[in-house]
Amino acid sequence: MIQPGQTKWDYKHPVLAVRGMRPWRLFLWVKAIEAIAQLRPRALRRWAWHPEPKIRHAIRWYYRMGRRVWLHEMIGFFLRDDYRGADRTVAQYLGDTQDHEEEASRSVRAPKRVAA
Amino acid sequence: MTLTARKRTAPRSNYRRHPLRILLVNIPHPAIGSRIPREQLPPLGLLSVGGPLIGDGHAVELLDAEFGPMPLPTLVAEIVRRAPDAVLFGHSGSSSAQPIISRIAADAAAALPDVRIVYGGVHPTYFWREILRDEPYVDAIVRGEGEETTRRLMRALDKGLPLDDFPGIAFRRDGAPFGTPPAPVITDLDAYRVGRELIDHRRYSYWGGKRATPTRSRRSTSRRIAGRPTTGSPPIAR
Repeated sequence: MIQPGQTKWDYKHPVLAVRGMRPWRLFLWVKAIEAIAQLRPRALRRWAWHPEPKIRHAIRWYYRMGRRVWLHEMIGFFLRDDYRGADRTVAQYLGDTQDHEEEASRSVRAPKRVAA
Repeated sequence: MTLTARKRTAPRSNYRRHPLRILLVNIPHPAIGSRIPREQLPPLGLLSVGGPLIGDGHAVELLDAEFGPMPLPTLVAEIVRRAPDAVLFGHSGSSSAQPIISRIAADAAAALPDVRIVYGGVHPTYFWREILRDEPYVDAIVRGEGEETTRRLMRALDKGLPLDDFPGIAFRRDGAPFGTPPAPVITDLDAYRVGRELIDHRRYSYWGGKRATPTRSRRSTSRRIAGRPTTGSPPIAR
């Protein structure tokens, strides 16, 4: 794990290490992929001239958010966040697997409502 | 079997047996998805838990600290000011929120020795043993879906009934973390109404920064949640 702070365990932070690649290199690759995908001529044409006003509004909103998030993540990764926990594993943080507790996917009878 | 974590120090002079005064708390999440857009979606999970509790006659309020976001000391002070019988912290999929919830709950429990602290959500569902071991101020954890289990839990706490009689709950039994069998998946969600009146829908939005109200926006998530005026309990006065 490369992200020791639990408050950073969301979908916008690199949490797990990858074999064969340093965290900063992986991070930059992902950011590059995001930029390349969003700056394609076809994507920019949609941003500028999508014929459906509501969809165009949504596209532009997501671009606005994406731009702020992209910069926020760059600054956070290189200037703010702490990655000193790189030598620990998920098991060291969280213990054994809990596959046997995947209770939500079990098929069982419907609950009986209790009287108020 | 009764709760062993903390016992009431003394009966409150104005303590009412029924209903319980329950405060649902949505903490200020640190995730970028919560902080960057500067607009909020309705806390649907807490509304889903709150609706059935209102239906059971409890006095329910929702404190959404995502707005601002509310500083943590302010949030704790507000919980203490309202002095509820029980504070319910729920969050979805958010191990990242747990350290913040733990801190707020600890501070609130220190200021309100009689308050019941209950967690629910994905992280507590799987980490109930660790939470009950490390956080003595937590009275119970709702595991899995909360609509029915939370109703039963609040009813049991209100009436002093044993907690090991129904599934989907974790608490301390004889000082050690104990979990009842998993609660079945709810197959008829329509049987559990959403607590629409717990929030002011004008403060919430869907994507695009469009303010959604029950009367103006026909396609918004807020409107779908808000629906028509309910025939049940009146809106909560704050």
